[in-house]
Amino acid sequence: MGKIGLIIRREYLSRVKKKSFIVMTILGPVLIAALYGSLIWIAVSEEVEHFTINVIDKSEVGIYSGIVETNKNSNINYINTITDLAQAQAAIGDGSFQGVLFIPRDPLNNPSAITLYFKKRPNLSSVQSIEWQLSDILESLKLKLNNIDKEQFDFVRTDVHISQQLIKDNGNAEDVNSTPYILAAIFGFLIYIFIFLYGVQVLRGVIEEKTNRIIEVIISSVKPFQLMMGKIIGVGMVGLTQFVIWTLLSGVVVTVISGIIMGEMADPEQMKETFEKMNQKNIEQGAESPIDMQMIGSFLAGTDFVVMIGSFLFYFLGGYLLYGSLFAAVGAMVDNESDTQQFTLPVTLPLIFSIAIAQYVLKNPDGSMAVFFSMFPLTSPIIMMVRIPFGVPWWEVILSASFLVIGFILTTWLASKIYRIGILMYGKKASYKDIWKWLFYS
Amino acid sequence: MFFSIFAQTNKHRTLIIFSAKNIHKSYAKHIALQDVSISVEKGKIFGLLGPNGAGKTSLLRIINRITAPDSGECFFNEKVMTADDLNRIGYLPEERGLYKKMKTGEQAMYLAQLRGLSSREAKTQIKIWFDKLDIGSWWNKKIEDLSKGMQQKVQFAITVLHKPDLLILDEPFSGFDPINASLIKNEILELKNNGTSVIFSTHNMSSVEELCDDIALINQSRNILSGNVKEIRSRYKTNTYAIRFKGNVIQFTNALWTGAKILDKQTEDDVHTFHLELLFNSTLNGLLQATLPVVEIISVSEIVPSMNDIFIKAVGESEGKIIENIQTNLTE
Repeated sequence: MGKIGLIIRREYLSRVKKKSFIVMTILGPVLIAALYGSLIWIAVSEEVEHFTINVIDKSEVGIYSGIVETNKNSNINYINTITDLAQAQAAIGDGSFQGVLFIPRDPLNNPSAITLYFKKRPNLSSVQSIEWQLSDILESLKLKLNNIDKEQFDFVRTDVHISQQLIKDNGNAEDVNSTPYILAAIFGFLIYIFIFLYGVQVLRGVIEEKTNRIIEVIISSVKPFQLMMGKIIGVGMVGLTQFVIWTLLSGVVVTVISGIIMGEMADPEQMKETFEKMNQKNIEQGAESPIDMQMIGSFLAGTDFVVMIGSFLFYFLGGYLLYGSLFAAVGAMVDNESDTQQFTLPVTLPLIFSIAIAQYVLKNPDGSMAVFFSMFPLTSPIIMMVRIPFGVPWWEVILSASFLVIGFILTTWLASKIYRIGILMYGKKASYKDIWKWLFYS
Repeated sequence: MFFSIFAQTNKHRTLIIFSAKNIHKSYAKHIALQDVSISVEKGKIFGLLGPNGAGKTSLLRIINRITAPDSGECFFNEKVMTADDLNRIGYLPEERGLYKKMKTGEQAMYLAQLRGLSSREAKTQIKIWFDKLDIGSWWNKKIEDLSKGMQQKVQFAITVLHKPDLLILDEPFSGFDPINASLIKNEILELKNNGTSVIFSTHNMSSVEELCDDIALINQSRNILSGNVKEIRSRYKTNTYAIRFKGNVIQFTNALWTGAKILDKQTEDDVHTFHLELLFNSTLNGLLQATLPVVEIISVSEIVPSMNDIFIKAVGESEGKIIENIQTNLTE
């Protein structure tokens, strides 16, 4: 084994054997699973409110009777025992009801005067269900008043959802769904987290060697460049190991936990009901479903995972090597961790910038800004990763990849110049002027 | 007969394990080394001396190829030094440490392998040295759990376990208690007897006298004094003697006449100790002839200057010269 191999092995093993690594590697998927599990749990077992509302109907069109007739929500019970508003307000909570719904004299022309009084705030879905019910009642009253047939009205009312079709190079058209957005966001963010997490590990490792004063012992056996590259590669392999274990374990744990949760509901009839309930709830709340079963299906079908994982690995490694060498240089410049702030900011700025503009790239993945930043090596690992799920011409990927390779060769070369001088400077922090000089040392 | 002559000539031919020729090194703002040359004989201990900031560490880093000189060359075994020669060198830097979280044994294995040992060789050598220094039971202990002195022992073992031909020790005794310091000193001497050459950098002049065969004294980036320790000490002799006697002090001083200058005198009970510098052409024999009739002489010994005195004197002289140079330059 060459000397660089020895260094890689030490850097790798000393991190992988650490308790914190083992704990995080096992705990990571458990945390993800716990999040996933609790989402399901919350959706399934959300607390249901039961309450009674006293309706004061001042209208002449009989809203109250309409409400009672059309009430499908078994959780809400309507009464009209008290007809005086002030009296009813005073009796909220004391009496047999928890809220007062006031219907004004002319609700058809003045629907916003309808008021709900309460002492304890009801949840959003209950209020929404009352609103929808009242809208329906008022709508059908209006239809009647204007002599419009309900069927005619339904026919006239039109919702437009444009269906999008992407025509591929081979002439086939394909459905466009929202999958790329989610994938792009997830992978872009993963790259950001991994580069940051492991870049900082490189920085810490370099500072550790400086403060432990072992650096001079080691570089009397190996070249500083070998030590720097060995460290960067070793830490990068720790990152890959963690990524692979997390992916595998997450899959296993998520399957097991959803199995347990589903298993509790024993019969499939009930399970189906649960899903319906979940979807029903989402529809009731008018929100787009976060866990849309149909979407997950198309998500898995419509994605080229080989391309995604392949490009993730490439852009993670490229970006990590580029930033890792910069972090190593920063570590060499300072004497202890508290001094790093001043120098890490210029290094992390392009990373933070990338994640900030990622949302604009998501909106317009083929815009000129997106294309430019997916070429620029300091931003391309994140931005290109965000663009790839939307489909990127192959020549752009190749161009961006070669820029990234050139970029990391260049930064590694610059960083090694700073590194080999910085590591031997004890007890003082370098200034930007010093670093400029170091770059021109032979 | 022929063989014995052959052996003799061979014995007198001194082998130079390491030499540096005309080394220059300057940093952005200051000059670290100017035209420094040293040569280390095989099997000898070579002292590299000098005040703080003189350029010793710069020279040691150049020898270890940590930094490159601006000009000048290093030779190892009389050939231009290459990176492969580093496996034959053991370096204990002044600023030294170990990975705190790593186990002692693993750490020694790692550093030995970086110096080119196979893992099997490394293991046997580590066992030998750990037992020798009585640290065998620390194999599985983390460095952070060891005391500073213990860490120094581990570091010494790591420096020597790949059997280097040239050992470079920068302040090796700092951080040791007297017992362990003498243990390490004996190990250094044993290594020397087995043929290892040593470059030894220190501020502790008494250990120089005890250990070093040759020295180089570096001050303000130049090599101002080098050579054999005994030779240098006799070169700095000032014809001074310490003489102890019983008897009349006035008669003694009268007997000296103008032949000697009294540098120092002490009296304890009825024994007097005089430090005398012989003047003009006086000899010790003449002095004894003059004083023997008047006092009872107990002992006479030559005062050889200590390395400490020589260090201070040489550094002072070289700085005087430099100041003179500057002044003449100014007046010109």
